[in-house]
Amino acid sequence: MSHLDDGMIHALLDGEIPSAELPPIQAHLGACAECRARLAEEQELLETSDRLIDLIEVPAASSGGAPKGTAMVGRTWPRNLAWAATLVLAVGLGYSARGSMPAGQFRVPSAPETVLAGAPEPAASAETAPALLDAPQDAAKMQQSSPPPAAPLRTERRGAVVLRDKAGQTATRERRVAKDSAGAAGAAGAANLAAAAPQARKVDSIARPAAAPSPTVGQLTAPPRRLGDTQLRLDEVVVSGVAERAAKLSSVATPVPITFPDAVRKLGGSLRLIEGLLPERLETMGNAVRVVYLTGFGELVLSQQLDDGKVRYTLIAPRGFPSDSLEKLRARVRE
Amino acid sequence: MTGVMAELFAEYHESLVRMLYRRTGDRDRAEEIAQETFARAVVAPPRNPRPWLFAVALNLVREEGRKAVRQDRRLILYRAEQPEAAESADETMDRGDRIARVRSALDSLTERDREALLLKAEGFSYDEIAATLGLARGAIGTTLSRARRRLVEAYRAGEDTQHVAS
Repeated sequence: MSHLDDGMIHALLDGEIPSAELPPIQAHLGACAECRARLAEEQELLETSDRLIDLIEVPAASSGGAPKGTAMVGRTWPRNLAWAATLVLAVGLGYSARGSMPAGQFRVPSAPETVLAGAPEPAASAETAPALLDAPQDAAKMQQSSPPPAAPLRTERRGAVVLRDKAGQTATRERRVAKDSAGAAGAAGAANLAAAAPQARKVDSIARPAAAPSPTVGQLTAPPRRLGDTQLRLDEVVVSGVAERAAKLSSVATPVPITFPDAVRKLGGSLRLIEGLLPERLETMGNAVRVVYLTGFGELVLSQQLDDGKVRYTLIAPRGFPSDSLEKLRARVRE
Repeated sequence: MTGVMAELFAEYHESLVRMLYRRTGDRDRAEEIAQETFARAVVAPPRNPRPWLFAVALNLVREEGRKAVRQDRRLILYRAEQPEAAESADETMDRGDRIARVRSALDSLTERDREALLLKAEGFSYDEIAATLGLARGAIGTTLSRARRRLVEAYRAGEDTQHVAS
């Protein structure tokens, strides 16, 4: 097929290409370095645009400044953490604004951009879902396999969470290089490339200090969106503002592995799973139990928690996950 | 409020106010328009609520926007918009500046591009954006790509020329 135009690239990034239409696009991306590069560029543009808009928050109500912490809509819920003041991510990467980037001020790398997924989980943000639920998944799984050694770096975008840990990113890059040299252009390869391509930039930005020690921060807390630009020096955690809130934040920020029986107990007797998919792992975060599945686009999480005696659940999908596939998966959620 | 309306309200009110706030820069106005929008929904409950609510709200903005007095209010709001966090004075000023610049950049977009972008920021799918704005679904990707590019470009261009309001 011919080169991808901007509209198609953005539709792809937004998960709006029906899954049935993905294979030729992914094949093209596998074979075309130019389009891969454009995809990466457009993803950065998209993320910058998102961050800029997110700067505009509705001023808190004058009465009682406590954050509402209500259900998330789209990517909105970090909004109410106005009290979080200044929390600068410390991931020990020694990452600082890169002079080589044009207008580097706004290139906040999306990897360290974390958002708390505490009690309020995104309300059914049907973003995207992996198209490939069959054999090629194995290749994708390989790509994503190694669980993060330290705290994973998480990105929340529009209610979609992409878990990217340094190990995972590095693995992605290596595999991509390997695939390139092998000339693999099959659907699986293409899928990985499609998933890898948008991450390519991220890997570049993170990989440079990759020699540095792995993230030192046990808990990645607070939405860096609040901080605006990347004059961030990700060397230290600076916590100002309300200390107790910060402590509370950090206590729910890190997912902790949980056993199946404990998960069932935590949810009052039943655990929902997606029929036909094999979970990668179970973890708990705050009140929520997270069933994590691996897909060609990243991790898909079925998050559930007990709320007023009822179990609420949400599917959190990575960027680029086709929304039609997500709907199909949603229909397969069973107890 | 009936049960259905209460649910609609609970589900969409916050998102609607936020979109309106970003669209207008005026919190009070955003709240008023949101209330007016829900009031209209009570009269004629929509079948496809989200696009309907947001479309009505955006129409209300456009209608009101023709009044010149809005211009003045906006000027003041650029300055007043300060984050309430315990940041240093520098950070607060920087942040206020950045927000003002984003607003400025948003204003430089065409109305349609701006609205598409703000709806996307509220988690709308392409279908929903198309339904809300009366556009062809096939045009949404291009619209968003253009809007995003122009927003970022306008923002960066505003870096050197630091005037608060136009």
